[in-house]
Amino acid sequence: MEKLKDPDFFKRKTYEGQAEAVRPRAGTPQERKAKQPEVRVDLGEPLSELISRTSAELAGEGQKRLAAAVEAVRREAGKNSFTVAVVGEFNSGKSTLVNRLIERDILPTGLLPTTALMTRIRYSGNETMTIFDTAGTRKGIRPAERSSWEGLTAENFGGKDPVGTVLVGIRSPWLGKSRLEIVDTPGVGDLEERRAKVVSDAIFASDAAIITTRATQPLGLSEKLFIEQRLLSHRTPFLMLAVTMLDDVPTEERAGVIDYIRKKLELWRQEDPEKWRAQIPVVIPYETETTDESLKSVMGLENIRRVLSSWVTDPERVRLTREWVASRAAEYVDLGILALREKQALLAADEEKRQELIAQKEEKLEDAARQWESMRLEMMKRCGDCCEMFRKRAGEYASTVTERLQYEVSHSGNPRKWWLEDYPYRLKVELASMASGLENAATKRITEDARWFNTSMEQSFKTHVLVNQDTIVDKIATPDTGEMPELEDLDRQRVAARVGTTVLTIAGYAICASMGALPILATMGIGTGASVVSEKIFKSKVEKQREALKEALARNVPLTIEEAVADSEQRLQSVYGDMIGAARTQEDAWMQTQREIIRGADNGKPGADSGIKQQIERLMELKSSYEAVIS
Amino acid sequence: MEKKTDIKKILKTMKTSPFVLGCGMEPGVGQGLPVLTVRGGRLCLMVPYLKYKKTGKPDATLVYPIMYTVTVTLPESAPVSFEDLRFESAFRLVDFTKPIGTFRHDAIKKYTKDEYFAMKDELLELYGRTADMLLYGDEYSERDDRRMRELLRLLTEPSLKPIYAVLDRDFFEKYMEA
Repeated sequence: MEKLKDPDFFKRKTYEGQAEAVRPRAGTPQERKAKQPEVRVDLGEPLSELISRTSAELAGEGQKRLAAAVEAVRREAGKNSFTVAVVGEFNSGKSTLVNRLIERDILPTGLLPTTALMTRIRYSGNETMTIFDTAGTRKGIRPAERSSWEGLTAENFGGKDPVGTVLVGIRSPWLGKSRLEIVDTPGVGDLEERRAKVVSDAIFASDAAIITTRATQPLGLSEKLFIEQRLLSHRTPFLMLAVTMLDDVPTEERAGVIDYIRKKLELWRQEDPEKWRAQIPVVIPYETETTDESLKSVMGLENIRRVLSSWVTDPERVRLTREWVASRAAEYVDLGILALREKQALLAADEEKRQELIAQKEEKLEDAARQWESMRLEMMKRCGDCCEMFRKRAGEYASTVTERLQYEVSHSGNPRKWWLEDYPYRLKVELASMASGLENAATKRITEDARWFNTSMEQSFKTHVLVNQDTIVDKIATPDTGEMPELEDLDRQRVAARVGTTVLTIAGYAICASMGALPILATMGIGTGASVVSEKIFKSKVEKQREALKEALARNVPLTIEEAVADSEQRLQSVYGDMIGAARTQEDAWMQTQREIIRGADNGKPGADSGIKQQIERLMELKSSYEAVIS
Repeated sequence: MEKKTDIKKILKTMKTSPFVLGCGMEPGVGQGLPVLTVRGGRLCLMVPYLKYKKTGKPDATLVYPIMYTVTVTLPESAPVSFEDLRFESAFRLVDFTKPIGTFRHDAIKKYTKDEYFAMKDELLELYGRTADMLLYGDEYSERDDRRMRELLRLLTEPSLKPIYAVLDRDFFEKYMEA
């Protein structure tokens, strides 16, 4: 057996090249800290005081998990850095954009899903890559270079998704000056729950987000839902939409794509101005040719860097951050109120009844957990069925379109002219019509599945979690008394049925998707395949030309349709994945709160519910104070 | 200089080797440009297999994704492994039934058939020289390294590059990445 003379030969880019050694850090930790610019937001005395009171109140009631979560919100908001999450669907150019922004070729990119870990990039004197597991334990340090990803990307994990964080430090003055931290997230819309949660958590703690969308398939339903549910509803202070892969669109259509995106954002804003409060600027990261000169002002990486730096010092940042913090804290207060009400109901019962209710509740929680899993699996199955239906329909359209075009060419007096001039246009028209048909079919299917998911969750929620028979959900569902529900009741219903409303909202959007919220096909990027036919064909007799073109159509039309719908399956999976992911996050929080209730009620004395009423009142007061900050 | 590792010959022998024939690959697959890789401290040659489908038109042969790889040791060409990429999780999003490019791609269209094959032969020679340097410490220059990179970047079908990147990140980054 021959021993290798240089086992690391292939790891070096050039024959004589050597990997750069890690340099020691300059100065003492104190000196380094003193040099750091200050970009912290002052939350202000009233809000800080409010958060302190909230965490003390929750901790005093035994809801330590919620108290810790509220403190974490304060900590994240008070950090001396500005975090920008780069989010978007798989292969929408997130990692490429980050690489270009930081002017380093560090993050792995490609056609296959690559980023499976959360990657945080910030300024550091030492160019290193530090790997942490989910518990925050450091697992290793590597040089900050592309080859260090070996064994870390999804493709290297043999099917097992790595979970954790990679902290990349680079000597980038731009990042250092504004203390920017850029977070590259795994692609959204993945059915893998842990990844969805990782993305969700990162966005929850980010000051800003850059949403990447492909120019060839811009702003689908899944992207709309993502922006609304993960960014707007959490009041992420600053947002930007980066249109990637514009070069893949013909030059003369590029300005149209940007116009389409802007109009779509504006349409969504008009539909729900409360949710879509601020305008989201649209930027084009890479210089490209267009017919609209005015687009030059939103083009280029320097433009994005300038906008990001301006956000850090934006006078509005203080107000937006306070709203963001108040909104997050209010969510936890909501959960606290709900928990106390449940506890109150349990303590109000006599001892025997109380123990019976606790046992019943514990058992039903177990049932609920099992049912969640089966519902999730059923949704994934429904997702598969929807994709299959989609493929089948696309196949049927391929045959119909081919036959129709073959008929046209066989009756054409000048096949060459038809092929060169009419065919590209006719194909586009046919594909646009097909897109509309496919979109309707998919929307109908998604709506049905979302309704089913919603109903199942609501049933599971009521049956398995709320053991009190006379729940507010029931009250409102059957308003036979003719009375309007109290505000308090509405609040309780909102929290209690949040899992349900998440999906109801999705179902609502799916129903309203007729305005083009689910662009299964972006007709702008559809190829014509016309170039495949050789000019030689047109030197033969007309009849022969027709036959040859019919053959070419039989080959090219299905291929073109196949290319056009290739990404759609992933988009459909995104929609289903988002429904499952959003519900799962809520379900986790709900389950944990319920367990705290059981523990609290089990330790309590019968009749001790009178104190809880006062605790609820105090939390309600805190909630009103947060709402005042938000409004 | 004596040619110790003859990659062209190894590739030819592999076509009829009992190991490769016994892998039961789909009919119609052919060898792609191989990858030099280090496995367990040994130098190996990973040979990709993929389908090309002629359309009868010049420069319009359809290229499908790499479907299998066979890895052999160098210089013995003893079999190490056979992989069917359709069952690999890293390739779960790849549709192996769909063409991903055409042969010849734009960058090589300007060359004649003879020029193309001359460049391919030169490239395989360079694979051999690299192997000889790594196995026997034979002479090797920066120019060889550079030329191998130039040829691999030119001759590799662009649509196959993401797959090469997954098959062997080191080889891809050293020789194929722009």
